[in-house]
Amino acid sequence: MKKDNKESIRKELEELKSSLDPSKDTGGFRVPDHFFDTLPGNISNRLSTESAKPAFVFPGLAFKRLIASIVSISLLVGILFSLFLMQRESLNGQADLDYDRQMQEFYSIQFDMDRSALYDFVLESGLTFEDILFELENGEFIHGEDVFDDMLLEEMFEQAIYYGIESNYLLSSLD
Amino acid sequence: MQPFGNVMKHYSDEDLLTMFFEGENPNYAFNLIVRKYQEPVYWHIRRMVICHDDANDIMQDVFLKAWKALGSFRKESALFTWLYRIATNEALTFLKKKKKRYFLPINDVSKQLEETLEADVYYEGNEMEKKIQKAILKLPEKQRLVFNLRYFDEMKYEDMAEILGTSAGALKASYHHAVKKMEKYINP
Repeated sequence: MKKDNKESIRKELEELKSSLDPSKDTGGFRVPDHFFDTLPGNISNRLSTESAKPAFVFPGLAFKRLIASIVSISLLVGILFSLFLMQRESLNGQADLDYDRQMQEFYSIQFDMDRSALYDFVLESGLTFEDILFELENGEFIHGEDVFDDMLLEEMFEQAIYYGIESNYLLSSLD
Repeated sequence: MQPFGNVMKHYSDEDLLTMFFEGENPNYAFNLIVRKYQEPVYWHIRRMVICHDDANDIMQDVFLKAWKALGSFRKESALFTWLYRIATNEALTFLKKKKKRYFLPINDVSKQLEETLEADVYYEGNEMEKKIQKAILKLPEKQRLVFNLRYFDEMKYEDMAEILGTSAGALKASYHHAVKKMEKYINP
């Protein structure tokens, strides 16, 4: 791993007018004595234990039994595939419900204009910013322009930058 | 930044991968990989989960996963970014499970990690280091990751981008936001 120049990291902090100084800060964590001497051995032991777990061995079958097994397995696969198709329909429905619930939650937070809750929610919800912008574009969520005060916009831009969304795209979505 | 393990450090990643794929004893080659990267990977995980015992468990899972997946490693990324990516995912999954297990909202997770920091017998930071750690714990998880990788691991944005799957520009912006927030926490 090639590290970045310590000086460039320090300068970057200086430009940000930060009092942080990585050269004086080790984090303060420590490990038990000889931890790193014994860790590779512990990992090797764990690998050996995992490898030693008996693998499933397909039993040797006589030809007739093999044919019978193939037929049985084919039937089983057919039944499972039908069940899978039926279940997929219901899972799609569930996914739609989950998405709706998340968007509703987003709206309810939005009404309160709670900046930190919004921030946490966007990070934790798993919704992408595109999801949210898509909803914004539909106009259902905007209750007058005053909803988007400067603080909220700033937060949204921060999130947009975090998710790598171009600010032009964000702006055009808010127009 | 804690020092890297100096044992076997002279092997390049290329050497180690060749030994793993073409040598007679892949276990030995893997052991060398563990020795080379155990420290940076451990500190990366430890800063995320705070507790030494948790970090130790996660480390073992990380290298177990690496062992299982190394056979299909295509060398499209550097070995260390690949390991960091596994470690990051494992640490985030651990924190997610913790939140679910205790039904914790995000603010309480940082509070709980603060308590872990206070109680950890393997933490001996001075007053300022503790203050900085507590400020870091107030950052959202992903910003915390970015801050740690840059500030403690001195990682380049390009490498971080490979690990976190985000553009270098976005990570730079995220780090700058994190630094500004940290400043507010430390010097209100």
